Amino acid sequence: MNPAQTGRGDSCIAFDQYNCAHPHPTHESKGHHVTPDALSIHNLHVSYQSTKAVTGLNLQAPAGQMTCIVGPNGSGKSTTLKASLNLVDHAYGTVRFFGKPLKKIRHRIGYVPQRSTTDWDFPINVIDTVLLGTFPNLRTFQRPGVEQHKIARNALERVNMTEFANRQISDLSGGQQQRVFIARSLAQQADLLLLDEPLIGIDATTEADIIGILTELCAAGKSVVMVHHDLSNVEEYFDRIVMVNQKLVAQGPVQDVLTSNNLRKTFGANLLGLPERVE
Amino acid sequence: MEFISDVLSYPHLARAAITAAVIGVASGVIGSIIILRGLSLMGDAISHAVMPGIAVSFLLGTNVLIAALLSGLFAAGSIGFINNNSRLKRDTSIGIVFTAFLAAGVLLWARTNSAMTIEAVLFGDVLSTRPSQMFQSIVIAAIIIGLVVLFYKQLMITTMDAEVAKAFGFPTRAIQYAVLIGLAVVTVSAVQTVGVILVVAMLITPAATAYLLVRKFSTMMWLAAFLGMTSSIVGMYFSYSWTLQSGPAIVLVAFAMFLLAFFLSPRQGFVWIQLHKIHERRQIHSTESANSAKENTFS
Repeated sequence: MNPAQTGRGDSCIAFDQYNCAHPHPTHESKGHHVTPDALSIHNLHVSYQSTKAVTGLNLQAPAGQMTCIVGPNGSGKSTTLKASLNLVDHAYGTVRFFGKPLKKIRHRIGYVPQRSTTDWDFPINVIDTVLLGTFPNLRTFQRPGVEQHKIARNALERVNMTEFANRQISDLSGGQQQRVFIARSLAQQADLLLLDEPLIGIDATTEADIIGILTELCAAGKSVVMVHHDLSNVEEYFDRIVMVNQKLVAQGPVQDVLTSNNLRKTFGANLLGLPERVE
Repeated sequence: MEFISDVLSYPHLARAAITAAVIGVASGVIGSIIILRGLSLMGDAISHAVMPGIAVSFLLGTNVLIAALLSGLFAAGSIGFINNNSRLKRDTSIGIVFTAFLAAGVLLWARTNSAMTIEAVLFGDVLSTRPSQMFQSIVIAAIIIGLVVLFYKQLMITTMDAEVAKAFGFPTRAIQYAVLIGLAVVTVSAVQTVGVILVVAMLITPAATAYLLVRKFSTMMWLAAFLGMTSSIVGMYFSYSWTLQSGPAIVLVAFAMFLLAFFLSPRQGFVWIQLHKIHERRQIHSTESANSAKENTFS
């Protein structure tokens, strides 16, 4: 029995906690202490009813970097992100955040879901929504106090939404909603942010602002993993890319991995029209 | 007012008024949570499905509250089971289950030989409230309010964004079950005042009225509690003064309040929105006719 077993999930997800071997042995083999990956997924399997969404996927997202997960529709990008947070049933595999099981480190992991999961008609204003981000760091019966309100106001300022603090969330545009989501995850003060297609359906200014904030976070030592759909700006926005199609196709630094060959393996076509390399 | 002096002089009337008011408060609070979670129809189903439980408890002489609660929760479980194991939509599963439970309840009731008429079960008979029932309602309302205050944070985040709440590590499933149990408990106690058929109105109408009037979850719950209490007392007044059945009287008062909010709510009122539209249309018309007048003079 190893200590990792204590991290066994309390819901129906059955993570393989017996597999304690570090899924990224290259780090260990260097023989000196290396910071573990912000997110490492080993041999993940997810199925919905009879169809398999993810089969034996491996993924490493190093700490302090902007990593994107790309792949065609139905390739299991969002599912992988959700499974890592124990949000889907019937998921099997090993997931480690900074080398630890989710249960031990949950409050340090931020999550920005797709906007459609939220009830935007809920009677709440912008600042109180951002305040929700401080909840994981409160004790069971503790209410947010002066300190939490200050954190929320700072987060709101960082996404340029201070003037909307008292606006109802139902009155926001898509871009403003996404800014509020980002502010909520900032208020959590997490070390790793997982974002599920945050750039869909928003304006160019908001996109630039969000990428700017995330880049700053990484520069400050935080880590970002984002499910992304737009291949044209991967090189500009991200340090690292993970290409998936139900299983891992390729992963690594963007300039090494985003090749015509890998695009063809992931999407069935060289979508970016990259020059063919002889390998 | 005669009603007030009668309430003060007749204990059974006072009991009825207090019970109705307390149940109004509890249903307003739980109703706010229900409508925001999209469980209005589930509330309807559970309220009808408590009927067999009430009948069985009369047949066996067991506690009404527990039997009704089990029956209501069994129905909720059946709905979930059918829903998860078939291609039927949720409202269809709900319709199938609650009508079956109600039908079984009516047939079982015929065998009870109870002094309570089936009409009292279906439409409520608040004037026959016993002291024990009044205390039971007060305890239930106090527990519900206490739990909501204690777990407000958890309730709010799981209602607004269940996925994020789950990612944050909140026990979303346990909270959902707790809400359903709270719903069943309040429903059973409200059967006394408004009856099985109309309970759902006490749950959703004051809450919906409050939703139209305020913009914060906690304020919405308090206002719904106040509106639920007010409709109960005003409904009782009409019921007593004009010898009407208490349940329908209470429900129609709640509905009248809803209509007022729907048409005249300061921000979302139907009347203001229509007036605003007419005003805008006029402005567009006047600028258009001014423009065309200009064009005419030039041509």
